[in-house]
Amino acid sequence: MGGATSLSADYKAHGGKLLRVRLREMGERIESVKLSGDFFLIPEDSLPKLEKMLEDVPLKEKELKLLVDRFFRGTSAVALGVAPDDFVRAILAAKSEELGY
Amino acid sequence: METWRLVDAEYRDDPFMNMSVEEAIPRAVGDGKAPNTVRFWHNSNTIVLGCFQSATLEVNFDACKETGTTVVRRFTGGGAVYHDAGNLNYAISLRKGHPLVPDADLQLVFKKLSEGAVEGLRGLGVNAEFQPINDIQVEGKKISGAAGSIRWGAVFHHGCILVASDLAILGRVLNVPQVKLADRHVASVQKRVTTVRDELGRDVTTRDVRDGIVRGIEKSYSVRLEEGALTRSELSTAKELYDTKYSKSTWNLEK
Repeated sequence: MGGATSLSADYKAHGGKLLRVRLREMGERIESVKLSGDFFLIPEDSLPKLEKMLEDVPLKEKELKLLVDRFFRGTSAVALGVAPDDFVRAILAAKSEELGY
Repeated sequence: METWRLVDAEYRDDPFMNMSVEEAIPRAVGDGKAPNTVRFWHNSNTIVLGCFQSATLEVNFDACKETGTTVVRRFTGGGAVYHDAGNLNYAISLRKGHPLVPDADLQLVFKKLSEGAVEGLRGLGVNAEFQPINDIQVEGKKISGAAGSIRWGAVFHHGCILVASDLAILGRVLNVPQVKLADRHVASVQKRVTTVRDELGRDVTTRDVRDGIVRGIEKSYSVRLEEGALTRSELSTAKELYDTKYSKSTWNLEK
């Protein structure tokens, strides 16, 4: 079994803000992820919770979308400048860049 | 007519203390220990990162070292800004539920609480307008950026106004990713920002702009600003925040 792979993407959301993804992938799953950027998210201290929830989630659109939706519903977090789906797209962009798309 | 407190509380050479005070005020306002407040302040050469930004990705540390620029993180989201003595910072802290911004809607907060600064700049002769999400622009160029939050029982909005800032340093110390610039069809951060001085074509002080924004806030919100000072409680909170948060590299650099 191979080691973890580092993936990254800078994703410009339609809302105008930037999402920067730096993640470690292991066996098609997220080992760890850091999300950063110039977006707004209230409450601010909810972002580490999303990063934690994303650990061990498959790098697949359906699973990521379910997880991100669960985060926003469960925390009542509100984003500005990025939409919940942008978190999914940004993570998938990191995967795409690894594949050279 | 409603009266708000006006505070000129600043630590020009201590951006960590400036940021500590920035958080202490809305905490006090939200707790009902201080009145609705407008604060004006300056930093010496400082990058102020948004709370979700990565210092490693956003900051050119070599350029910071060469230019004596400090890096501090604020408690609000949004993008990194460069502060120097030619940059005027303002902050508005209101009790949550204030009639100006009754809903917990951050976009509305930015729009409504930028109006005073826009009015103040227009009063000085600058053709400023609010540009969603959180900018004030003059003919497509950014002259002020804002950030804010709704927490601790307060609605908080702060912004920095480029009065006579050194745009050459600004362009060096911040790493602006190409994806951020690409849709604006400009080559650098310097070309998409402007200053009050450049717009007026004459020297202008940050005090002139501060006075203009005081008038703009009073006119826009039909309030009277009354000069006051930070309370002992706010200063105590600020000192604690300084010791436990804003003076720490774990807060400022390790995201």
